[in-house]
Amino acid sequence: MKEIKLEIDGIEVSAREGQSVLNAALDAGIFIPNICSHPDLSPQGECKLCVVELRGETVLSCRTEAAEGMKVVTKSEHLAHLRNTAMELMLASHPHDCTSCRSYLNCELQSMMQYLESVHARLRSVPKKNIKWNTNNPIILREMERCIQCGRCVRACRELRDVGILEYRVLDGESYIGTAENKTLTEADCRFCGACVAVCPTGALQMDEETTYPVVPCRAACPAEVDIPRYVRLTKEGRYSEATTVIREKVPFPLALGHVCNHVCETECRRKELNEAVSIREIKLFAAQNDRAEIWKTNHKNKPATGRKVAIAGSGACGLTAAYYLSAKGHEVKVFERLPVAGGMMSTGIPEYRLPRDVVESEISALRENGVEIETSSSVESVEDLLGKPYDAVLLAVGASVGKKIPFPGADHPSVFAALDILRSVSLGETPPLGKSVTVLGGGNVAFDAARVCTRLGVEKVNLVCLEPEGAMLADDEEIQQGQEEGITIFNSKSTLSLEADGDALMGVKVIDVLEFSFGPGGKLNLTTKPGSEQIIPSDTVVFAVGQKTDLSEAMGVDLTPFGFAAVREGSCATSREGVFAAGDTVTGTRLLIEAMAAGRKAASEMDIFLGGDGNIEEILTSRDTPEGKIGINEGFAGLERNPVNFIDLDERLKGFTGIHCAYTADQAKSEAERCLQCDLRSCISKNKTWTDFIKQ
Amino acid sequence: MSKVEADVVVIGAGASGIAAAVAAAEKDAKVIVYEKGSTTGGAANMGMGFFAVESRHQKAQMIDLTLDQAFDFFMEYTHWHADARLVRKYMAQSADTIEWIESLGVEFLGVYKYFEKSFPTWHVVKVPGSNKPTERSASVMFKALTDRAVELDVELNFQHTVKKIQKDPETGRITGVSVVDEQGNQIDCECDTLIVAAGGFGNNPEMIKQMTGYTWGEDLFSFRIPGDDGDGVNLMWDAGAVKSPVNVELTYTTPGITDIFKTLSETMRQPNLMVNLEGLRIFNEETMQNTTFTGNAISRQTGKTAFTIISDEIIEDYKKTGLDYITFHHNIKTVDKWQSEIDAYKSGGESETAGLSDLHGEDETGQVCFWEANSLEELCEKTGINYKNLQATIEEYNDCEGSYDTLFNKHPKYMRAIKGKKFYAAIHRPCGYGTLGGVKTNDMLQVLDAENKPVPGMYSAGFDACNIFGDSYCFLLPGNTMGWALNSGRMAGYNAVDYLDSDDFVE
Repeated sequence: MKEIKLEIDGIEVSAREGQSVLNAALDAGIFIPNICSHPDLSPQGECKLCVVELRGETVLSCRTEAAEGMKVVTKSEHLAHLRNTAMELMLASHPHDCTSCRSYLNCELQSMMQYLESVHARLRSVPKKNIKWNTNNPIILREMERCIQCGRCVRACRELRDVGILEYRVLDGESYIGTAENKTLTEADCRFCGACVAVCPTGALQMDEETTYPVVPCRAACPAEVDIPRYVRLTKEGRYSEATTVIREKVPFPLALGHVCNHVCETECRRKELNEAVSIREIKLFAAQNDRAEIWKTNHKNKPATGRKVAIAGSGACGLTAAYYLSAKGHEVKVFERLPVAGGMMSTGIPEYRLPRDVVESEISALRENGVEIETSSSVESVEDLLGKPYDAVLLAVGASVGKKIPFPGADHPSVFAALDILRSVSLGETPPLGKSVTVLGGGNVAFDAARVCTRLGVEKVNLVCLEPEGAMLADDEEIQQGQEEGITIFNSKSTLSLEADGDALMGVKVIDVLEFSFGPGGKLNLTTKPGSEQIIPSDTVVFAVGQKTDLSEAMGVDLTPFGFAAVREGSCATSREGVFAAGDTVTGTRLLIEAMAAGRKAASEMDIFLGGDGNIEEILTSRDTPEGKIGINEGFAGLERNPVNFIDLDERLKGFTGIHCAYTADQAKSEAERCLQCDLRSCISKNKTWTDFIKQ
Repeated sequence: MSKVEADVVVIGAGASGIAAAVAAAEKDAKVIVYEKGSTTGGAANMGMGFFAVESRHQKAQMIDLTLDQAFDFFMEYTHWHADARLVRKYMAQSADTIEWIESLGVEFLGVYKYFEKSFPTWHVVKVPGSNKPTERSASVMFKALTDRAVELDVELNFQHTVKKIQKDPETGRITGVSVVDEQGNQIDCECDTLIVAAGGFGNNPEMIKQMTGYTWGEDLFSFRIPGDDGDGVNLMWDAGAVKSPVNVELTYTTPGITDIFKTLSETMRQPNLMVNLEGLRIFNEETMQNTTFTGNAISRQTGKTAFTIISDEIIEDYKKTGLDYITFHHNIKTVDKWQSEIDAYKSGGESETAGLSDLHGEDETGQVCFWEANSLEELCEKTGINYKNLQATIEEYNDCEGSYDTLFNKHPKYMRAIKGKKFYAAIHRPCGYGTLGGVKTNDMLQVLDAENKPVPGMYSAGFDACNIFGDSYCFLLPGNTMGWALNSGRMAGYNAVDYLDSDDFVE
């Protein structure tokens, strides 16, 4: 492109052909005041602040093309006078009080008042009348008394998004910015992308939240920081392999997560302010199941061998994730798994009907192909056996594999089990010795897993007893609903007093009604119960699902916390023993699968640094094309309903352990992905620089 | 992660932070400032001026208030709860600070009272080209201080958040701060002294509840400056500073009205009848001029609420004579816009409050703060005021029309009867400019630990360190918030560098 030379305030500046004088100056580090212009939008010339002198005439620098040999003056008494007048005209109808404005200190108008030393001092104030139109919208707040009618939002909606629902309107001789027929944003088919908010120089347009950050709430909520909007968009475009690859850039188990991820991303999804969150997990499952090309396999390359060796104790989500990224960094990794199968909770905790075993096996075998060696039926007793023999570093990722039991009277009865033991033995093909009626103590997802497994094993009566009242249980709603459909009886707001036995036979669980409960420091339970409400729930088998702990002992050779977890340095995975790291449930106690994977990533990065690497485990496995910003109108967008998750029929569900969860159809996946607000598009919008950005460093 | 070094790090570029930075740089220190927002001046950008005593402006205006008088008055007012050495140093420096600011090319309009019964100590910044006192005029001064900072090679970083204060584990000395920039990149900044001037925690309802007992949005409607989240005090507490009691700089507000509908707001703040929910008067309404005292009185009432009530006859009076009491910063003299503002307020349907952003949340929409009614009974139905008591109150009040106020001795000229065909009420709730205090300092602005010993190298200024007011902000010596901010910042800046040059400082 042709380069143009011009002179601004006596300084020679180069500009691109077609560039405005304003942008040429700003690019060259010369600040010209401006407020209606924006680097991503066409010039409008509304605010008049960018006036400059050219050949003795006053022109708007935003609408003047840079030309060879031009001599431009940006500062003079005359220009200051014009700018101040323009500024005062804008301020005449702007509130004099900045208190309560959420853009305070991030407001271009406020910043411009400082720079131009121009407050609303001289002109009579002219309060706006048309400020109440269209102020009750979800997601986007419109406080139009703060609007200076620069028109950036109108241009952003039209030029950046091709949506064009915002316009200048006139009523009672006063212009204001609104929508055709003053429709609400929903009626006007707003896409709620936030482009108008991103370009607004004042506090007139804001996101309806405490703060405008995080800009992309789902991605910020994901423990592994998976680029959710990107894979949702790729799925919508039918680019399933690339979508899966985006997930794979952060976690090596997209299919398993597609089945069972607890999707904290959906809890934060901004779409829920319109109707319901985007069903992100289902989109993930569909994309991962339809990744035919597996482009990640071509694009992923392990770094050259470093000659360093790593041992990992535990082949769960955390251990295997760490193993994958450490081998990607060129280290030789061997994983030791005490059970006969690899996968930890994915293989022997979460029941097969929720997470089919062939899914886990296929994802683990992909890791093996990538150089991760896994030795099953091989437990690690002490880091001494590994460190230096010949391993340079060790990661403890043994998880929290021991189910807790509370020492109620009768809890030592042989028909009392921990949920994890039941789940593990069933997963390993064994048949636990259950009676005819089972009572599960606990109200979390593990409790439901145990209860629903019991039902599938043919137990006639399955009860579930928990402290929480209906509606406040810790398990996912889906679990509770399906558990009830499958015949589980839930006893809410009950505290267990004892397990009652008659001779050798367990007779039932004695419980009492809970009026109130809370957990004090150190997890101490404070209970208020209802006197005289004791009852016995008859059952011959009792299963505890009240939390898990590790089986670590001092013999492992690292310091433990008072609760038996591996002790690590604050904000780190390093244990008390140099070269030994710990992560995942081993450190934190039971957490989500995606959190275990995120912990595995963190451990891999830290261990890579320890082993002499740079700690950077980020991978770009697919091209980063800029997303299409021109999303256009989608009729009825705000009302698009969430596609329900597909489950097999109840009859089929109860027949055994086959998977109950079916992926979306291609149409469902596409229409679900269409619902995304694409909050990430806002990150592609530039920031308009103001005077503080031009302070030399 | 990048690494930088400074002699002095300043957290916050508000009034106190930028003053501290300039002061330290004047003494040739290498200064780095971290500010969360995009510009300097912080909360003070919405202000107009600041406190000084015995300034050349006061002398020129023949104001004979002396440093000793102001000091004595202040200490009596605070019942000597305040650190007398610190207050004395602040007041003694205040006149020079006016000239310090003027040396940057900033001009002052003159010295003003905030209200009738206050002292003239408020030095109001002049906006170039205008001789009118104007809200937000102080923002002009922060441009000048910023330019001065840049000239003195202060490194200003915007949209940077300090995450941790680093200390030497053995000596307890400040060694640096960990910072995160706009993109989330980490910066480790080594420094020998640190001045924390982060503006309190007016934007942190949880901390407000914990430290003051008020519930934001329920019984407190204070300004929430974005960014004033308590970062500064939390960082200092984590680094060994002892907690000090915290006050809200109390005022009062009609949510959704005060900051937007100035005529409505000012008319409903005239010294007419104010009652509580029980329909009883709570004080001499002339006191409404002192917004702190009014905030205190309202806070005592049921639901921390009070109402002013006027009638169409009073509005008719105001149409002829103008308002009784004019605040010179809002400068509303007439009721010309009375009806148009009522129309604008109601145009969104009575269900909507304009203004205070956070009152647009789900819980607050539906809140109405100004009412019209055709009878007192209807007004009571709408507002929830006890009708029977209000009838009796108004009967007694109207009996004193234009004469001696038997209950509170309000001036006869303000004893306007509440009668007519139309009645208006506005609700008033406790409000505030932010939080005062959080850490304790000595008279050198050094932050103290639980043993009353300075944390070596740690200074604090502005809201975070503002413990000089006792239980109530002193509006009687106006300009004190910004006066304290600028002067404490300036003192902290000088003191921090003096410490580095002293024998106390061991590298």
